[in-house]
Parts: sequence; C-alpha cells; structure tokens
Amino acid sequence: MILDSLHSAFLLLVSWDAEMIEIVAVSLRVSCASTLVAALVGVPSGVVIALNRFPGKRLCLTVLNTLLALPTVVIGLLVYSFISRRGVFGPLELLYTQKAIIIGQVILIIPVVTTLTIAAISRIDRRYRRTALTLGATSVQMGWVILKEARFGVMAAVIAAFGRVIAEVGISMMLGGNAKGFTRTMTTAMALEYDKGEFVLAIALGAILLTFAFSINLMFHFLQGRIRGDDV
Amino acid sequence: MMFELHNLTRQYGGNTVLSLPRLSFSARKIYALRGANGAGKSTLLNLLALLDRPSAGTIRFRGEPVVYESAALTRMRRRIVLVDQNPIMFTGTVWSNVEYGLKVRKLSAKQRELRVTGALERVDMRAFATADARTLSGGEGKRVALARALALDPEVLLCDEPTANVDREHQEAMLKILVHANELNHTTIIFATHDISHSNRIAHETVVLQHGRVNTDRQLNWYGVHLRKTEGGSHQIVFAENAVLETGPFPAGISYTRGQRVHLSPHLLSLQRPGWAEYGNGKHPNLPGTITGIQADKAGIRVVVDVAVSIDVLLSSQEYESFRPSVGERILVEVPPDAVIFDP
Repeated sequence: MILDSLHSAFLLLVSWDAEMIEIVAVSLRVSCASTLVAALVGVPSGVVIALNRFPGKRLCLTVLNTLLALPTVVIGLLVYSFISRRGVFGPLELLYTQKAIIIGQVILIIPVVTTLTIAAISRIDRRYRRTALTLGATSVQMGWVILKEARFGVMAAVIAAFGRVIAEVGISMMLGGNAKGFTRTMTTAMALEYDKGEFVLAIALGAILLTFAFSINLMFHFLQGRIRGDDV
Repeated sequence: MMFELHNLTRQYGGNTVLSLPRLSFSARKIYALRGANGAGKSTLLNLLALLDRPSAGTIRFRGEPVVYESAALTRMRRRIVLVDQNPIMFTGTVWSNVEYGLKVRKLSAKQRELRVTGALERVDMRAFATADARTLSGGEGKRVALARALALDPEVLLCDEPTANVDREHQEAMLKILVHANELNHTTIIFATHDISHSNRIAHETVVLQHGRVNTDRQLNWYGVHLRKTEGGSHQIVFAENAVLETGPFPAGISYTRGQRVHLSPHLLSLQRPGWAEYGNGKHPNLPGTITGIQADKAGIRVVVDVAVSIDVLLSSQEYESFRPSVGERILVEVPPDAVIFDP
C-alpha cells in the first residue's frame, strides 16, 4: 500500500496537481510573510539587546530563551482568545484567515530571530564597535556596521525562523482552520489527509516539505560555514 | 589644554588599573606614553578616545567637561581618533575603510575622494585602494588604519603601539607620518610605545606609567638611594649593592638613616673609558656600567648606561662624535658634584 501511495504521490508531483500547488502557495505566502515581519522586529531588537547594557538584560535573555520552547498550541490558544468573536480584536474578523496564521507564527519566531541575532552579534569582535565609534559613528551607524559584519549569522537566524514556520502545524490549524484553498497549508493538509486515511497527497506534500527542509538546512550550513570562515 | 584629567580612576572588577590624580596634555604636542604591559597605557588611551568612561574623576576636553550620556559625546568624539594596536578592518576595500569616517560625517563625494587619496598616499598604500581590506598583512593593516584616522584630520590622534609588528623600514615611515601630522596639521598626538628610542626621538613629552600611575622617577634620572659615611670619612651614595658612588660631603639636613631620593642631571654627566681619560677630566667619582642604548633626540644624543640602575647621559653632537660610544661597551659614568641633586 505504501509503495502504491509513493507511486501515486510521485505522479501527483510530476503532474503539478492544482490543489497541491495551491496548498504549497498558501504555505509559502504565509511563512514568507510571518518570517518577514518577524525579521523586521527581531533583527533590530536583537542588535539593540546585544549592543547595549541595561538593567534586566539577563532576565530578558532568559525570557527569550524560554520563549524558544513555547508550544505552538499555546500560541494558538493565546491568539485565539484575542481574535475570536468575543475577543478584544474580534470585530477585526481575523479568525480563520491567513492573517491570523501570520500573527501566530510571528509570535512563534520572533524569539528565534532575536536570540539567534543576539548570538550572531555577540560573536562579532568588539573592536568593530570601538573602531566605528572612534571614526565618528553614532550609535545607530555603529549598529549598522555590526549588523553588516554579522550578516551571515543574521541571515542564518532568518532562515532558521522560516524553517520553523513552514513546518509548524498547531498555529495553522487552530487559527487558520484548514479552509481549502484559503488557509490550508502543507502541514494542515497532511494532517487532514492522514485523518482521512488517504496518503497520496500527504506523501507528495511531505516530499515537498522535506525538499524545503533540506534546502533550508543547506543554506543554513552554508551560512554557518561563512561565519566560521570555512572554504565552502 | 587639550585634555585635563582630574582624580581619574578606572577599575575593572574591583581592581584599580588606572589612578591619575592630575594629568594634562597640551594642544599641538606629541606625547609618548611609556610603560610595561598592564601599566595602563591602553586604558588611558581608551579613556582619552572617549570610548570608555572613568570609574571616578573627570576628563575635560578643550576645557569642556566630558558628559557621557549626552548627544554631544559623538560630536566631541569626532575630534579625536584612536588607532588600535591591532586595528580591525571593516568588510570591503581599503578605500571603503578609509572613506568610512568621512561618510558618517556626510562629506561630499568629491571631498571624500580627495581626502582618501591623500591619506592613502601619506601611508604609501595608494596601490592597495581596491584591495580587500581583510587580506592585508599586519603592517599594511596598521598603515591603512593610520590612513583611516588621518583622512579625518582629527584634533587629537591617539595611537596604541603604532610601530609594533611593523618592519623597521615602515616603523620609520610611521613615525615620520606622526611628526608630519603634528607639524603640518597641528594634530596633538599621544602614542603608547615600549620603544624608548621612538619616544625620545619624536615626543615633546613622555609620560611613564607604572601600575596605573604616572611614574616621574624614570623620566628624570630620579633614584631611591641609601646614603652612608665610611669609617675613612668618605661619603657614598648607594644606588644598588654594586653601584656605589663615592662623593663629597652631603648637604646639611640629609638623613642617613632612611631612604633618600637623588636626581642625576643627564646633561652634566659624562662618559669615560676604563683605564684612560681621553674624554672627561677623570677627576670626578664614577660608576662603572654597560651601554644599553643610544638614541638621538631633540636635546642631543642620549646614552643609556646600565650601572645596576639605568642612567641616561646626554651628550652634545660634538661630544658624541669625539667619543663614539657603542652599545655593549663597558664604560664609566662620571658624576661631578653639581650633577647630583638631593630631593629636599
């Protein structure tokens, strides 16, 4: 049965099945949007936290590290409580939309982007900071210099975050509702097909997801190599 | 005054690494900071560059107190540049590195081009303009770092060991660049060095640091000694166990029982070769030793003699030409009575 399913999944892949393409497109659209928003928030936050000394910094880092382990269902529940009909943002009618998934995923990966950016910035030689300042840079200009020097590490942070959201299922299911052609992502579609006992589409989507995961890891390791200065 | 430091201390983890009750640096001069590793030279340079803040005390720059929280700090910092001992290059070309400080000051492209070209030519690195800055050797990197600072035409140029890890030919070039910047642009230069010859040659003043404090002894041939009167009635100044100077009667009020500080005036001392009195009159008491260094500086030719303690003897050019001392030579340092000054 497995072999038959694999064969059918292969045919589905090479035939560019319309439903499958739509699911992949929704997944990519939602994941790219949430990664972009998280990068816009997480990277500057990471730079500011890494470069400044302030009271409670250690606590802030501990909280961020704790948030890395936040289960997707907890985020799903939390966001649901705000955007459900009776929630504070109920009138905005966000529940079971792609925007709802994006909000949940952004909350999921902001700690990922921030902590990995902090780590990337902290690895940068302190002399860069001193050199930029003595050459007349303002704090913002100095931060930009450091970000430029840490670019491979920061890009790796963003890629890791994308890898996290493309493969998550809890938030997409709870906040998106798995509506066909609208909020159905690769992972929610796979869960549904499994429930139905039909593995063909699930296996085909699984193959695509694995290909994404492989590509992301490949990029991640390439960038890690650049950070260490390896010849890649 | 360019800098005035008052009751300044810097502590790291409870350890005081710098303690300067009062120190000032005049404008348009070249200062050398000398001292062993850990003496506080780099800490002082970081404080003067306004990259670090003192644990206590104040710094005034051009009469204005430095306030670290203010937006004015960047404006003040833009008048001072520090060149690190091991400078780091930003990702990019040599040109973009030298241009960086000009860009943050929002100079026009035309001005930037003129300044970068000029600065690279001054350090003889024009040919490397398009090279990847991170592929430069240590010496080349130092020259580019100096160009990066000179392009900004700062009021104060701070250099941490500018000639360390640089070959002899380029050491000379680096020193000439510093002197040139001082003479032509009136840049105040403060540089840390281990090399006594460099400080003596180009510095107008030398500040010697020891364990985070200014040490005035080494600057001026000052020594902590013991005085004694022998049974035969002669008077002796004991610099060390085997460095004893027979001298005339001590001035009134000098104590024999506790330590005393004496100064030997470098320009009143003279040299004599053991066994013959070709130079000097041979009538004065002397201390035998070995020549450990000879440097030309603004005051004349400085001969450093190790007599168990290090004594600087200052010769005129004529005296040097006629005597021709050489490093490693055994020598007698002749000390006439008027060369000895007792700390009151």
